[in-house]
Amino acid sequence: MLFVLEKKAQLKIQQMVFMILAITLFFVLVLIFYFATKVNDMKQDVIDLDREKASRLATKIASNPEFTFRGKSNAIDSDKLMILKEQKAYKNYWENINGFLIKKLAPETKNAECTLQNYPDCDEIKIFNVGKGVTSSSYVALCRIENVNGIGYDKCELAILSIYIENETE
Amino acid sequence: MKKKAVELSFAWIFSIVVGAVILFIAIYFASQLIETSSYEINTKTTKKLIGIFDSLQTTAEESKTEKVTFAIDTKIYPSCNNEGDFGESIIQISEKFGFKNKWSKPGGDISAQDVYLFSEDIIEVNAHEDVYFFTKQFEMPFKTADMVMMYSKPYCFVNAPREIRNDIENLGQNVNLFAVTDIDSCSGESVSVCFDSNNCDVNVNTVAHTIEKNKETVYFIDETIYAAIFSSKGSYECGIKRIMMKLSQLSELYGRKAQFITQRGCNTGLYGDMVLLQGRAKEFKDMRELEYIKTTAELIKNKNGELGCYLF
Repeated sequence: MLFVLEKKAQLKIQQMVFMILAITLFFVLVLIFYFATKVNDMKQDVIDLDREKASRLATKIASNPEFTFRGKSNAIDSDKLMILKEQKAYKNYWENINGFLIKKLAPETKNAECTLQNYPDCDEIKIFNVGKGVTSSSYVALCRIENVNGIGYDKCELAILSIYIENETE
Repeated sequence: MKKKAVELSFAWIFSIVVGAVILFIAIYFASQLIETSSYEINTKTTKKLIGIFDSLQTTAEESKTEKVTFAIDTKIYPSCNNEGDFGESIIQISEKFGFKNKWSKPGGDISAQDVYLFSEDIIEVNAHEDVYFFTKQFEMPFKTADMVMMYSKPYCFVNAPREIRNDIENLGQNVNLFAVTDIDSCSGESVSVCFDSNNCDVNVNTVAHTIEKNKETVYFIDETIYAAIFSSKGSYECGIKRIMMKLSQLSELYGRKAQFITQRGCNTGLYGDMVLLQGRAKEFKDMRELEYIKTTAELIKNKNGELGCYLF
């Protein structure tokens, strides 16, 4: 009789253990699902914030002292950009920005990247790491000073400035 | 008489113990989850706040304003470090959450190298109150940085010089700044700023170019007066040091530009001056050196104005 009772108790404990394990497993799965959704939402938030930042910056970066042409609104200094390309300290100055691409639109372009050797007879100025990340663009006047018979004058051409924002989720 | 004892089977004891363990674990995870969520929310709010600084950047205009309303009680912890090539402005935020309405653990710190923030060490705002921002350009001799002033309390300027009064007027109504002629006209909650007298929370000496507040004195020149008024001594001195670090980098850029355009026949003769300015800005340590650097900058500005080919 005692043996039968003991067996019954053991069976009950086993049932209970299985039940507890099943409940625990269920809650673990729910938690995993919850965190997976949350991480996904956070990634999306980060991408959205980066896009917002990129579009905000595209219209504002031209007024940075490193870009602006003699304080004129929406005009960037191509001479300064050529120097900025080489100034390593600036590589991480603008948070989350991989690089900048300034492409001359008019007069007709030859698609030649600007170097110290071919400047200003070129069309594209690449600064830092171009080609990776979220981009945002705006039209700017690409200006430089030209010397004619000892007198300097401002020469400006239409260009498009693209900003490559680092995608933090990558 | 027989005593009645409550007889608990093993199954009951086992269930109670396991139940208690499960309940404890659930409560522990729930509290952890709340803490993580508040950290995440605080970090997101900080990131959004940092985003506002992009819109505060000045273009051709001299200053800009912005106002942010917080939905719940919020504490902003701005800080500054001047390590590396540019240093950085750092912000953390803590908000009141939960049933107990306690301050949450501050979120992750978000930093920006291209922001020059001047403020008190802690800014506390109640729900639906505003935090105000305005920007002033720092030029020496070319635009170097936008100084962003951040504050929540109203500031009352007593007997301010005409330039300051004009600046306040130009900033508009949305900045919570008031210019009055008598300290009694200032509201009780406002921070009073006196000029050439010592009766206010902040006392400006326009002759000695010093500002005394919280028993501490700082030195200012030109537009840095606003940075000195609105920030703690630590925030002000660190911010100015960072601007000098930026000035050093920009002077190097302009110096190299001077060499570069010489190849195209634009000889500015300013390379040496730029190297000098770069060196002085780089070596900057004491606020009194600002005047000395300003003199060098003004000399360069005059030389540049006389050129056929402008450098800046």
